[in-house]
Amino acid sequence: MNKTININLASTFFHIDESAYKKLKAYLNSLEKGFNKTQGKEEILKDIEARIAELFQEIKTNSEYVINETDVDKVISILGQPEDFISEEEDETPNFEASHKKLFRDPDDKYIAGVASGVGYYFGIDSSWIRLLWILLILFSGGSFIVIYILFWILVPVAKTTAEKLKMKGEPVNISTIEKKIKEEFEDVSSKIKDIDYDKASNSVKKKSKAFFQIVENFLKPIPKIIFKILGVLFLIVSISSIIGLLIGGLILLFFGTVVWPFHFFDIGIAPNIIWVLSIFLFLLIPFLFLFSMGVRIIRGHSSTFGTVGRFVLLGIWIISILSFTFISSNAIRNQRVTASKKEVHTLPITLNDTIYVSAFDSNLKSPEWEFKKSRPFSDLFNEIQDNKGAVSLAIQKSNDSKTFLQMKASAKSHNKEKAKDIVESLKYDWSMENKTLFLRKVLLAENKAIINTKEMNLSLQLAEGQVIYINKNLKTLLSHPIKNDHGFRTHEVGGYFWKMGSESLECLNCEENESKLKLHYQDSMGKEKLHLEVDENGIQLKTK
Amino acid sequence: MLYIVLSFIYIFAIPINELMKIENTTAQMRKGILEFCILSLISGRDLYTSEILESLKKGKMVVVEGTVYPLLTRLKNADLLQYRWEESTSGPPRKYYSITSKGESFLSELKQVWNELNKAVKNITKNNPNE
Repeated sequence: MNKTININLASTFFHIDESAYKKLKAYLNSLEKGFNKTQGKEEILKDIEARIAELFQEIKTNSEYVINETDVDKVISILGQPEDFISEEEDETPNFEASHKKLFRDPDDKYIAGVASGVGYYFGIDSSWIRLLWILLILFSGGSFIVIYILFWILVPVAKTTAEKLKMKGEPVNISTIEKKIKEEFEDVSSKIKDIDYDKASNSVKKKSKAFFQIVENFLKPIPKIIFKILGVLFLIVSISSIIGLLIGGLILLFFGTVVWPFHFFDIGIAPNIIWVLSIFLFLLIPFLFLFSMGVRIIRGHSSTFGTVGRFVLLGIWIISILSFTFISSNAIRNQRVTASKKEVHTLPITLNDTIYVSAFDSNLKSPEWEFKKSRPFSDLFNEIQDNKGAVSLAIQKSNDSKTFLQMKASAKSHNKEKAKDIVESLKYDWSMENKTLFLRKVLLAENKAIINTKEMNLSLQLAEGQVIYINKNLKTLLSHPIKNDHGFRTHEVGGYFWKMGSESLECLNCEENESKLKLHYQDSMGKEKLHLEVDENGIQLKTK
Repeated sequence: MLYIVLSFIYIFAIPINELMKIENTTAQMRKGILEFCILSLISGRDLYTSEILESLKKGKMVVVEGTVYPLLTRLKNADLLQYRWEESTSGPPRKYYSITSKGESFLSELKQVWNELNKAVKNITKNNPNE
């Protein structure tokens, strides 16, 4: 049993059954929506209605004929689906949907808070997909996306009023759309009530299968779009996190980077160094800005973040940063082409009967092992560059002679011989010999301010065989070459002891004093202790089994 | 390296996007030609909508009828066409379209452009060794 409805199409009277009526109405509604932005919409719709009436007239065999669903399908296939011909109108009716949309939570279609349906409207994707995506994200992120969901819940407002609901769906807010929306909601409620009363059971199987295929179709349609949007979201996540990372990293280097100061790379003055670092920064940053704008573009449609001019300016800056990076680097390398060095040998007024003490200047007498230095951002940078330190290293070796002497080799790098020689001449190294004590400065000073890092002072203290020496602990930072010694001490461990230069290596004179214990163990093959001998300040212990 | 590739993709994404509008372009082309056809059909004699549709469908110019309605309305709004209502014996009243004087001059202009284009396209495709 089917209800029949009487309709009036272009002033012509028709009988039509209910399902056919619904189909026809949906078709006309979709046409109306499609022509929404086309000029002369009313007239076009009237013409189409007239044509439908004409086609029905042809189908109608007698005045009692009831138009059924197949007839409507036939007419629709003749006229075409709205997407077949309305897309052609698109160029003259720019689609503002994307930019007019606002993110809301949908209270009418929700499982938890309506976040998924709101996001779905925003991206024009079925909310089921968004729900699936949420579930996957929560599963794969180990639950951390729950926090993001809650953030959405808190930060995204609910679409309460009709105007907000229209905005959520990207429809223009005007009287006719609000009216339509309210009517829709009313019809929704009334159809629900109707469904209870009438043909609930009659064609429910048909309806269900139809609904099923509708769902399948709705699921399959937006797949490429979804992949694209996910890509966009991925772009946004990657670019935003990289930009934030770069900025934070840059700031940290700028304010706290006194250990590995970024502006210390080359000996070409501070400005080129800053430009060098800046060009690396921009070289890394700009592609992420582009990536970000690409992500925005994918998600929001045709909006462009920087504009065409901005894009080309950014590209220009990027190319300039590559060029300046290359230029400064090659210049800096060129600046180190030639190395000049100058050797000086000073015989020290020491005999084999004396003990020579070696120490660094400005040692903290109270606790020689500790050194304290307070780092201050910025001021350190400029101070160090003004100080113009060079590296100093000290080696302790055996002399070929019966005398003890200090050999000093100063070297510097520059782009030509003369320049390198000038720099070597300008180097100032401070040392003195007082009361059998050799004082050495830890830093090398240069007058030439343009040079930071490419100068060295290699000191070599050459001891005659049999010479006794005390190495102060404060020399630790100067000692960088391995020192041969009979205890196998590493270079930084030799400080604080008296040594005697032997035939090949240094021999420790007071190391045993600190070696407070002598231990002897004997174990049998089973690992049982058979003999235990220990000698220390408490006396001698001997255990046997 | 990745950055370089991505930024270049981005920069060249502009022309690629425009290329993707080729569908749009052909639609535009077909629309223009369709307008030309409608005008020349109506310039022969006054026609009502269904007749126009029939001729166009016969000539394989349109697949679905829906395409024609927006065009007719636009041509009418541009004063190239006008219409009058006429009663029909077998159904609802019919909209008879006739061409205006403005439409006539527009049509002759279109004809000239079409002939030139046709000739040019033929020449070019004839000399193309790929064809």
